[in-house]
Amino acid sequence: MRRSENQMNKVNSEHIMESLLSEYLDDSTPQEINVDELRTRAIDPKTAIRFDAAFKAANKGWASSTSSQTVITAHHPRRVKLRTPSFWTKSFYLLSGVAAGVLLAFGSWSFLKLEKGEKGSGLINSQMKLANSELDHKVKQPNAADNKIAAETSPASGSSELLSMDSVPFPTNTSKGSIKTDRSNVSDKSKKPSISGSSIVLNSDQLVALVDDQMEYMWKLRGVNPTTAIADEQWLQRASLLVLGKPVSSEDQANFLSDTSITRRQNWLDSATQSDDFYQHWSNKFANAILPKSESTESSDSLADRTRFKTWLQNRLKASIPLNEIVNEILVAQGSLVANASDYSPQAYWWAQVAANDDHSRATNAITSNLLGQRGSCIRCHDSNASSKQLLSNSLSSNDASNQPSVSRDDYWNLASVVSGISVLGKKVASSNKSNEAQSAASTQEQKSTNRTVGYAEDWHTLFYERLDRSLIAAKTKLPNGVDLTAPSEKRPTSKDAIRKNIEQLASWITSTPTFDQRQVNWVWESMLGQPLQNRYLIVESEGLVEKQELLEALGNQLRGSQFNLAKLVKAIALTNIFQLESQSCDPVWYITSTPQELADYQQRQHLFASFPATMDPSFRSLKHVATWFRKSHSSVLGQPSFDPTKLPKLKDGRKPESVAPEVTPAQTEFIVRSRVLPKGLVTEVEHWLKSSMPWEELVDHAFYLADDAPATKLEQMSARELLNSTRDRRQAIQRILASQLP
Amino acid sequence: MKVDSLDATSRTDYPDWPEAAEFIEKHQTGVWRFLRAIGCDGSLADDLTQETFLSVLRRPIEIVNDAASASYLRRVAYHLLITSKRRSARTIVTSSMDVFEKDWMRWAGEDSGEAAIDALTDCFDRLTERAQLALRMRFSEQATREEIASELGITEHGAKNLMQRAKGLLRECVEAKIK
Repeated sequence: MRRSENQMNKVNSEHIMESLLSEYLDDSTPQEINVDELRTRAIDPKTAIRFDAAFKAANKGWASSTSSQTVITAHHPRRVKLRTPSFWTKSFYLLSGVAAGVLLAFGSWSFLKLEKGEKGSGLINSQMKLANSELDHKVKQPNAADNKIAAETSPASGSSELLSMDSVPFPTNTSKGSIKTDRSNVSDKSKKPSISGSSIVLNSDQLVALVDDQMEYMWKLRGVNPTTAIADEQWLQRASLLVLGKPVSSEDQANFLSDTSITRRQNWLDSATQSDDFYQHWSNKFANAILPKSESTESSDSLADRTRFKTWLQNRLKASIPLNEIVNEILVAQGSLVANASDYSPQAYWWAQVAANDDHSRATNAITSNLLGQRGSCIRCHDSNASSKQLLSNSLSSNDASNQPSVSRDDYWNLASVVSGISVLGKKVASSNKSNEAQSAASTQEQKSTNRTVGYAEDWHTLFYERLDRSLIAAKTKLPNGVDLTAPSEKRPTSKDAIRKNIEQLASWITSTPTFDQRQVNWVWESMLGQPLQNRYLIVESEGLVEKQELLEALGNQLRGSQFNLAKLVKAIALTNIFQLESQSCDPVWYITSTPQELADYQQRQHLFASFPATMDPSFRSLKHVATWFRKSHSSVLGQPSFDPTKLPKLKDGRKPESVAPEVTPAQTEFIVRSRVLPKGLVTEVEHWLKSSMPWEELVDHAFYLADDAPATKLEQMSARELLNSTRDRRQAIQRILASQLP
Repeated sequence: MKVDSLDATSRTDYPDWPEAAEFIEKHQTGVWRFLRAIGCDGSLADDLTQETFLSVLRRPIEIVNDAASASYLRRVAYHLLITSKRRSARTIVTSSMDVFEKDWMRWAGEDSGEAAIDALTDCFDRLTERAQLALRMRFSEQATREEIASELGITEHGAKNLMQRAKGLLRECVEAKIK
């Protein structure tokens, strides 16, 4: 016993020492606790919800009638009262309202002129937009100064407490018509907004309105109620994390709160997007978006090279180089990755990673998936464009689906042929091949002595690919836009100059396609809102396919129109309504006890951005966990009664209980994962897979391609096999895998 | 000082505890470090530290002295961690909380581990450059053992030994200093 305690002492000391060491070396400190926020969280959740609803009701009242401005306080939620403002306050709001009305009318008139091709006064227009955007912002943000005004008791409190969440409309667009002067036809929200606007570069406010309108239209169409809006301080915390990649500092918070202007969110964003943190954060995001996911076996993924590549990206972003130009520079880069080499080129890291070991299929995948947002993993084998186009054209009424630029299987292999002109020298030996220490030392020496250099191939081999009918086809050196890169007299490029020109044309084509623009929007959107605006695999999308695609195209056009101004896009997303929505967090108990309708509503909200993504969705699990849980749950059937969710205590209003959730059993977890509803298109696709004679491993790979754009790892294949052995049903097992993996 | 000025019915409303900010500031770092030491990463430690104080805000305690408050907070934090780990089906680094509590007090004392951090800073500087680099890569950059081995030009086994020795030396050095 004594000895075991000594051992425990030693182990504990090691843990303590390692945690302190980690703190010291990582320079990490505890996140500062906001006591006021903590106090607010200590409020009984039910009361807090009512308080929030009352707060929104107050906003609504303000928006609909400026002369009856009401202010409520956060001081005592059970006694939320509406306060009648003083004479001076009333007068101020009355005057503001009149001024806004005049501006609104004038704005609509001048925009109608603009739409007809007449150029109005730019100055007046910009002043009008500024005034309107300020007005809009005032409506949107219940600012802290207002919150601090002490509320007094009023008879209206009773009714405010009785307000339910559903009865409170989203508090934003009631006075928003003014900033959407270019979209004045959207007065009726059930009417489809026209969002093409490709010929006009919208300003930041208009860009925000563009997103808000489309989202609101999408929700109205389906009767979706978004969650409530968060307060300023929460917004700041969220924005700081997602725009700067770090928690908000106390200094930042103090500055933000001390700024009492109605544009304080914009002010903060303007300042944040100029900071080093912004460039560092977004260069990391950008690198992750364009580089393929690193594999655990990939020893060549040198940390130092990657860091230098990211630093290079950061410098380019900081120098205001547009994203398309940066990608162009990356694609035409060649040279060594060694910092002190004469031909040092940190941006060549991209080619060194994607075309390592002359794996040109991987490089083509990186181009189609990471740069163009296409389904590279699918189209290398399937000519799936037809079905995707069909899927879109079935839904698209106004747009012609055939205009959607896409890459066919032949295009894919033609691209691979162009890419095979790239050669990466100085490959490292993977450490997994080492059999003993001597070999290991030798290969380490080799790794140290060989340095990667990206250049053009000495010898050009014709690339062949197999069609489904087993016929072999020679790939052409041709771009998807039909430009044949091979000179008429040559069958293939023979000189390095010719290869260089081909790569330059490839880079120019990639960065000029609309799909490139949309891909950039999609990864920025995903970084800010947790999921891409449109999944590249359309069968995974369950709802809002058309509306999302329209918005994606419009934002892609706007991004190009604004010279790929990353900061502008980030700022616009941070100011949209969807970024300010509350997260609908749900724990396993909620998942189990909610009715099918509640669950469907929750999933619909998540898909349609009607709530901010929950940080931890219990239905999203690693396959390993799903497999283990399922096995345990399955075996429990032999010895224990099967799980019956109806026997759990039913929660009223389906909200997260305040008490700590009980431990979730394997059977319950299995139930949770099973409760995820797969989109219809995907169910049909799975049936299609099952009818083919595909081996199980390939089936699993297909599921992982859909979820992650990469095949399953060995570990995942093992877990999938375990799941299959437990279920003994391929359909059930593959559906379980998809349900657990899909975003 | 008795801070539980709220009765059972008003607890669900707005806790009125003016000294809360001071109390949180005093104990926050200690709770966070403790959570890190029993196996939380930075963000989980942040979350659970908040939850710990949230729990105290909801059920205010009677403050006897700082040491007792700190001990109580550690208990709350530990139980929150257990709940969290149960949910994610992961294990906790220690099986005996009592032993860990004693070891924590030996290391962190009553100053939330400030002295231990100072000692660690001093001891770390005494390590060889290679050992420092290895530990920096491991703890600061989350590099794999393979990457560390590659950077130092040694085998993976060598990197493992190097780091183990370095950590052992550090532990002995810090323990000697804080005794």
